[in-house]
Amino acid sequence: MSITIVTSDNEQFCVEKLVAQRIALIEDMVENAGDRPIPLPNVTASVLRKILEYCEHHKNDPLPPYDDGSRSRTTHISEWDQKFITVDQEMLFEIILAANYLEMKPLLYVRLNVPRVQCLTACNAVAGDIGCKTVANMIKGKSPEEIRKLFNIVNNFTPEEEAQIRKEAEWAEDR
Amino acid sequence: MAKKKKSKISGSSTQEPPSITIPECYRWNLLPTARSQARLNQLTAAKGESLKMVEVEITATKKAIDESEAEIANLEKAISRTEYAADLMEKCLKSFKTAMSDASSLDGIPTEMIASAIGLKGFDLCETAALLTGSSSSTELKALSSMMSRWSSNVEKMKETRLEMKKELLGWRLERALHSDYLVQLEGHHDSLKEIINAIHATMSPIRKTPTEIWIKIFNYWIQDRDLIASHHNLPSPLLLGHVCSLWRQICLSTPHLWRRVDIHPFLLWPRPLLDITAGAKKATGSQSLEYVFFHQFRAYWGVQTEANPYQSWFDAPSGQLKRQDLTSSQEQLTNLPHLRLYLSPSAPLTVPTLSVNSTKKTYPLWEFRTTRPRLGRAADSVRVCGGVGYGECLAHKYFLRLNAEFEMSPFANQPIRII
Repeated sequence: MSITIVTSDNEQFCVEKLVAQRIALIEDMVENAGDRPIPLPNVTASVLRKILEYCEHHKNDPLPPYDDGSRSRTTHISEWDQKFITVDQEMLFEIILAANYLEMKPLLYVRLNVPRVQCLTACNAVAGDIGCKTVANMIKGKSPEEIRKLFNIVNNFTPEEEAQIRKEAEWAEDR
Repeated sequence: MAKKKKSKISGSSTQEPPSITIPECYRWNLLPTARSQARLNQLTAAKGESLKMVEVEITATKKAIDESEAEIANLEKAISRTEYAADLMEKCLKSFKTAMSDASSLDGIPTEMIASAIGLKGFDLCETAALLTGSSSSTELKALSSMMSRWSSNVEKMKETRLEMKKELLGWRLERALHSDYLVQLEGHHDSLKEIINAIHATMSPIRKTPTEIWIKIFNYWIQDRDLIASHHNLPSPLLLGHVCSLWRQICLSTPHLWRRVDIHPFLLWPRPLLDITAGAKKATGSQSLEYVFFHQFRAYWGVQTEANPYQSWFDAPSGQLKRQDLTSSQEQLTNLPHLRLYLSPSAPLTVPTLSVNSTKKTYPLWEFRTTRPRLGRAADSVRVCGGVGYGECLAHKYFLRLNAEFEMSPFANQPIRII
């Protein structure tokens, strides 16, 4: 049995019900929707396609250990994932945001206790994670000015903040 | 080092976007309001239409330029060919004229030959020669003279036509110049439309939708695995991010767990603001375990200065007072560190790191130090770490010495830890 999901740009995706149910956001909707397609107004087709592609590739991965923040984090990214995440900056952030919006969190699936699907959804959470790692890697070794340029961030410090930063930066000249 | 940088660039996964300028007045790093977004979307659509029109116009103008260039090239060739032809024909005409005037001197020769030979034996021979001698009134030469007058009038006409072509060429050149100027203007207009569209796009980019918790996650990754060799190691870690924009600064300063790892440099004198931040972080993390990282190799700029000239410029020797008010002693702030990580130079000699405790005049190999935990009696004790390739975690070129909880700092509670 499959569920139809409609993206914000009106594209329909047929997803296995088991998969769709594991996306927390959709899970609640499925019950009320009956056979009607489920709208995802915040996700475009191109982003959902990417996320489903990720699920497909990683569906047989073991469930990552429960993240209590203590395991050592590393920004290492595997080769396939690296290729998967080699997208333009906008898509990168769209993937991160979509994974966050769809609430694909491993913890949730621990609660659901469905091992195979746990894997699928846990992988989605990791899709967002790889995005975050990629962004962290992009920032690595860059100066604040370079970071601003990279993300089109406006320097919007208040005069008080400016004064503080000047003080802090005075001691942090690059040598 | 250079090699490393190079590989980093080729390994970067996302392309850098073209530089976009968001107007100065828009000092805001989140999404515009819904109403503004609607208006901005309309503006983008309108500018997109204009952009399409300009693109059509640019194509048409480029075509017009190509056409006038083809005309110009063709006319230039025709002019130079005409010039060459007229020149050649004039030369020919000159030659013909010379030939005609030379031919006229033939006219008297037969009469003179016959007259001189009358009654002589060679008369018939002279007559034959005289008959063979041409004359300027021969039909061929007459035809030539009519051809010459035709050529000469043609040459004149050619010169006129050439003049005409030159005038035409001026016209085409003018057209080309006008089209080219217009193209420059159109391209400028195109760029400014693109700039507007890009700036609007940038203000509505998904980066601005990114919620705080995602930024924190990103910052965490950055802090846990940042490039220690990067040139910005002079700033305590999360502070660098706090120099990007107001939002990032607020996130960094209000998220204690980002400060669990603090980069500190083994100097007695610290810039006051930096020390304040480290102290603030220590306070903010509360019960959470702080993880300090001492840099062995990368010496902060202020530290190098303090080391190079410790008493002349920083201290007033007679009174023992610190002259630079912006430097402060780190003694109180940097003691009693629950978790300590030592960052040792990868190029340090391959020796087993040792910790020595001055007062006991004994040197402990690290593992021994870890297991036996020498009792340190007096407050004046200091810890010495001799360099060496790390023990424990090994991350690429970074070697860490993990001392963690087993390394109890309480005996040094009132003393700075000096790493020499």
